[in-house]
Amino acid sequence: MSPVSDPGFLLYFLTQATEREPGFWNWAFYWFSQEVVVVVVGLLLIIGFVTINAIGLIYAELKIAGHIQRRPAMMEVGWHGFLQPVMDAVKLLVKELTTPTAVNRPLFVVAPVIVFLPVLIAFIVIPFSERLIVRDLNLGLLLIFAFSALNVIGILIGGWASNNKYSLLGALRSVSQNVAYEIPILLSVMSVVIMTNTLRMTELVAAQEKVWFVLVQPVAAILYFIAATAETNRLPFDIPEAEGELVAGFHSEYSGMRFALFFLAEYSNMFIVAAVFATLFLGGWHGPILPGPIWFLLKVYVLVFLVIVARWTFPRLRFDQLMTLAWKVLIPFALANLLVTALVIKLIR
Amino acid sequence: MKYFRNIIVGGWSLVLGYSVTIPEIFKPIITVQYPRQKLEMDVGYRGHIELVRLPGEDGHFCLACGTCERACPSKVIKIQGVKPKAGANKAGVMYLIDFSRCSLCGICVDVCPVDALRHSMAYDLAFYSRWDNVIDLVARFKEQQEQERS
Repeated sequence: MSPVSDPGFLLYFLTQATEREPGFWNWAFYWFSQEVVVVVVGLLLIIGFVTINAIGLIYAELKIAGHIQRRPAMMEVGWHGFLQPVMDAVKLLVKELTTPTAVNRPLFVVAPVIVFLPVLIAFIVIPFSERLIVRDLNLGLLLIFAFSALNVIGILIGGWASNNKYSLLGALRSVSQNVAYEIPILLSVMSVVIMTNTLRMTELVAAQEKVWFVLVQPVAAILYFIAATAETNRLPFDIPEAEGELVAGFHSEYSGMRFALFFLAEYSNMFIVAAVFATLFLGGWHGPILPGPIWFLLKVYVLVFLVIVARWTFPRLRFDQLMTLAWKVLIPFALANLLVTALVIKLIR
Repeated sequence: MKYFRNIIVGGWSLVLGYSVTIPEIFKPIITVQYPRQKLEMDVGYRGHIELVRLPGEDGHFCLACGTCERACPSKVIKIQGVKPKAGANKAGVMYLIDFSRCSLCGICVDVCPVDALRHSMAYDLAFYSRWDNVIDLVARFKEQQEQERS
């Protein structure tokens, strides 16, 4: 057995050797253990979690849809259809990647990747608990919102490159919707950031040890929840892929793994949006008895449940109603809320 | 004022919407897993027709009089009857009906002078060939009788 493949030796390498031997190698091992290991392990964990999360959410979505309509949903593959989403994923993986002849091929291929990448990046700063976070950046919250905005570009590229009128219309709608709803999201988040004076995710959670911000900032919480649902293109805001009007919107021409990437991104975005809500307003990992990560996941999945149920409860908005809601209701309220928060903070300090 | 009223009414409608759908999730399921579970049909159900079987009686009551054959609006019934011996009543030996074109109107049941016909409880009629739709009710009758005996 070579020393490199011996786990005991590796462990010694990473723990003991870095302390005893000074100099360059010391630094190199430290760098390796801190940077490379964290990046590789973190990336693997994130990809694994994204996949499992998406499969679980697809299962949950279909089951909830079924039970709301008083039917058992899928029951055939595995216990209560448990393996159905896994089988769907396998089917999408092995399916041939068809590319229509009229598309702009490079853009067509790159669009799903652009939609999916921000998801991976956002997971870097999501604090599952005090220690369970890939990188605790001091601009964590900003990183999430900065890269979520990239999502829009991916959708626009996908819709444009498809060379299909329905895809293009879906993409255009998606862009105008996401741009409109980005503003109330950022404004409502700002009012929390003003209170805590930090963008670091762990500090945001730590500030809520005594009282959750949903009690201090109820308006911001509600505004964030509504706008975030719109941001993920979920019903009742799924105008970019309104089946009745636009076939499937921007991903009409996609199939196989490229379609699966869009799908993965949608379900992961649901998780990210709910995770940010839990971090900002519901006290993240704080909670009695149970350990931190479980509390965090519990809060996130309760929110995701509400988002899923909304799909089977509320009808889809018309496009002008959507824009009215964003520009005439959410943004003025978010601005007013921000103003009041700033005034109160100024008076207290 | 209308603006604020709209927001309050709209916000309240969100709560109402959730209060309708979320309890619905926890109510029992009312659909049936079809190939594994089957519904028991109600007495009033009008399935395809069959010959009346009574517990004590051995045979069917069809006289092969041809009233149903003449009354059938779709002309899907074909009967053949024989007299077992001189002076006896005629008895149906073949009662062919094409279920693919039968509209389950029930006129044959109504006009039968000896009430030999009734609607069955069967509801899943599907065949691989359209000729399989033509069923001999007398043969079916005998088959079912033998199944009951064994």
